Amino acid sequence: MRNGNEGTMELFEEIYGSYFQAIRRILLDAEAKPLTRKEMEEDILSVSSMDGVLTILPKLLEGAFRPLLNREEDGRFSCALKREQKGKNDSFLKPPLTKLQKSWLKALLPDPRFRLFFPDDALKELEEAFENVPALYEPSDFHYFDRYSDGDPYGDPSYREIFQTILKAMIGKCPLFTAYESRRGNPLTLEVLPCRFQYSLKDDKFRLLCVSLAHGRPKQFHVMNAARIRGCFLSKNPVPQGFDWDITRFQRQAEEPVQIRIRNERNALERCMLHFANYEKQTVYEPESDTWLCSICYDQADETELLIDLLSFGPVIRILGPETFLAEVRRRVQRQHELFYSCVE
Amino acid sequence: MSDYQELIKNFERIRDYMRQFFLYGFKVRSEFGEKSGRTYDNERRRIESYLSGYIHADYTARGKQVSVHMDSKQLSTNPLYAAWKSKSFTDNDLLLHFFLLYLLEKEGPLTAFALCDLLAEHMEHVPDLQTVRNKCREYERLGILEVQKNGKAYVYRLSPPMALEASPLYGDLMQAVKFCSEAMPFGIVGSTLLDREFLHNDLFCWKHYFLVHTLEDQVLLKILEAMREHRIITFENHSVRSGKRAQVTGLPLQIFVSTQTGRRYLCLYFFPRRRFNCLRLDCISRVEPLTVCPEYELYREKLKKNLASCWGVSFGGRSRMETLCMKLYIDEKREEHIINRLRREGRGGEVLRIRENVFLYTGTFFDANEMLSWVKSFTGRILDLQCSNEAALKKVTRDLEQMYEMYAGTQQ
Repeated sequence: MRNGNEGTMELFEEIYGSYFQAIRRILLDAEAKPLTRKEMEEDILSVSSMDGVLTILPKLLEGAFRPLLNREEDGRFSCALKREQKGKNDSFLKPPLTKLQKSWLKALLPDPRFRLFFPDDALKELEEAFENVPALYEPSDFHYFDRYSDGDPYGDPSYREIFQTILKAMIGKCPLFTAYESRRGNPLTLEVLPCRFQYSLKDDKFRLLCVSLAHGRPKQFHVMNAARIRGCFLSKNPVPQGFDWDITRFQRQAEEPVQIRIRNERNALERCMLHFANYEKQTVYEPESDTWLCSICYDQADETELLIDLLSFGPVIRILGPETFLAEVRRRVQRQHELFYSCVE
Repeated sequence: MSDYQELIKNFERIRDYMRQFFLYGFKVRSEFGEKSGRTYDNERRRIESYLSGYIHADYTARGKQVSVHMDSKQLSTNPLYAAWKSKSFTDNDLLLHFFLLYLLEKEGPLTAFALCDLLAEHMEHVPDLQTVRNKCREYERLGILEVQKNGKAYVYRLSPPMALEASPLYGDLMQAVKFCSEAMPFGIVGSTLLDREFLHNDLFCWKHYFLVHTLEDQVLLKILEAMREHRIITFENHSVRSGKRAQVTGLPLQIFVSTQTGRRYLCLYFFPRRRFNCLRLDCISRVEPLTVCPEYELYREKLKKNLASCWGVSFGGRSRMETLCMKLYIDEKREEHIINRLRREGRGGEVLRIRENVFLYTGTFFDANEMLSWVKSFTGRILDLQCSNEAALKKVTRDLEQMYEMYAGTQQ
């Protein structure tokens, strides 16, 4: 066997591309049953939102990629690559895993967050499966210098069990009984519909975004810290009819964005743009003042965090509004002045 | 724009433009100075296509400014991954891809010559033998094909699927990949794994997700390869502040990651200066591996010993260690979360309760300047500040005074 390890691994390869993915989707479906042009368009749009990807369709029907399809008498198109035995449809034309993909999977194995997903025997099976694969990276290659130190206890067996139960409920879309300890330490028992797990790398925490049920009806949206869920089990109760699992409807965007003016000092512009890159924002240069005006949209639940982050920039940015936000900035700054220069304690 | 094509050959071409549109979004055509206007138009058009639905255009007196608007809390997957999935290809590349997978699965191991014969049954214009051979070699490099020598000929076959893929555990693995494809380094690889199964993340969402840094992943991959081989590297460093480009050589040791901004830094050992130093990954390009450093582990150990003294990415100046003490007013009955903040964000600094509602934080690090942003995040609570670095102390005190003048001074 010749050694095929020569050269650097590349992330940027055509086989991972959207166009290849779109063609595979079409061929798979056209192998199951002949497709109309419209159905092929839908296939393309189901795998890629890139504008140009639809341009492969004429090539597939009339151009260079024509050998991949046969035109049937009724005008539909079937896959020209015929399998002798109809097997599991999704394995057809599936490329074997690449070295890069295997190597990345191997690199995940030691990560405590990855290990949350599996019981011990499954982890052993995975370790054996990737035994001879080199890892793409090692955990020690990275140093997360500003990650909060009170992250979730990933190694705790009961946390892992709770995580796996929640995951099972989410995958199966079924309600869950939870025993939760509130921030103030009060115990709560709730039946919830688990919509999504939210993860923050900075907090190193999972939060369960869910909707509580009362008398079988959706009642209230909750954000539960996974580490404060003391126990949970799957409920046999039905999901309310027509329940919408989309959680974005629960995010309460503040009515007005926070507006800041950025001075071109101490690299403030660059730092601001990077720091607030996770928010939706818009920045405009104002040549008269040689400053940048930046509007940051935010979820109301994150208001204090945003305020603290903005204060950390000091006087190189000026917070302009909205008024309630600005009032809190003034209060803190005023209080700080008093603490330094008056006898207030 | 007759030469416009949506797909690209070289990722570096799109990397900088995408970063600028995503991060800043206030620049107009004339401010993308390094390349021609036509290049700008092409790159803008590509990005508009890759990120359709997230693009916002404004018309200002200076010209059209294009920005990317997305709230990372509302996303399931990183839309910038689209750039990684946009490599250009020829018609033959695509046809050969599907025919090779099909023929090798149907017929079993084949030589390039036999493949050509079979391709002739399916294709009007059969690629020449060399093209087929090159494609087989390329796929062998990727791990899709395996090759065996049979007499004088090379026989190619599909790499056998992992036994794991037939197990129910593989389905569970893909659930984990839904998380890891966004939360772990090189998440783009996870995204290609989900594509392979026609899956998408429907379980997780994100907070504090900094999407733009995926654009540095190819550079990172090259650096990690050099680290694995204990090699010194040389690369081009583009300073964002000065705009200058410099050739830098050093021993790559670790990647420092900020979870609060997403910024990633390469920590290197510089031999002439005998120092550790961190450089931003998004400023690095054209990485080339050089010679192996036999004492690599020794430098890794040295760095490890230094990590506890780094607040961020600075290894300090002439004074080796600097101490900062901050006395805070915290209503301990109602504001326990602030005490928790001190502990979890203080990076190992000591937190002492001095008396009722008064707490003292003391931290000793290489560079107190790096702590000042954090200090200012406690504005409104700081009773006293002391620092062995006088200049840093003056700077933060002056900042707090300026903030008072800015926000409260006019109220008097």
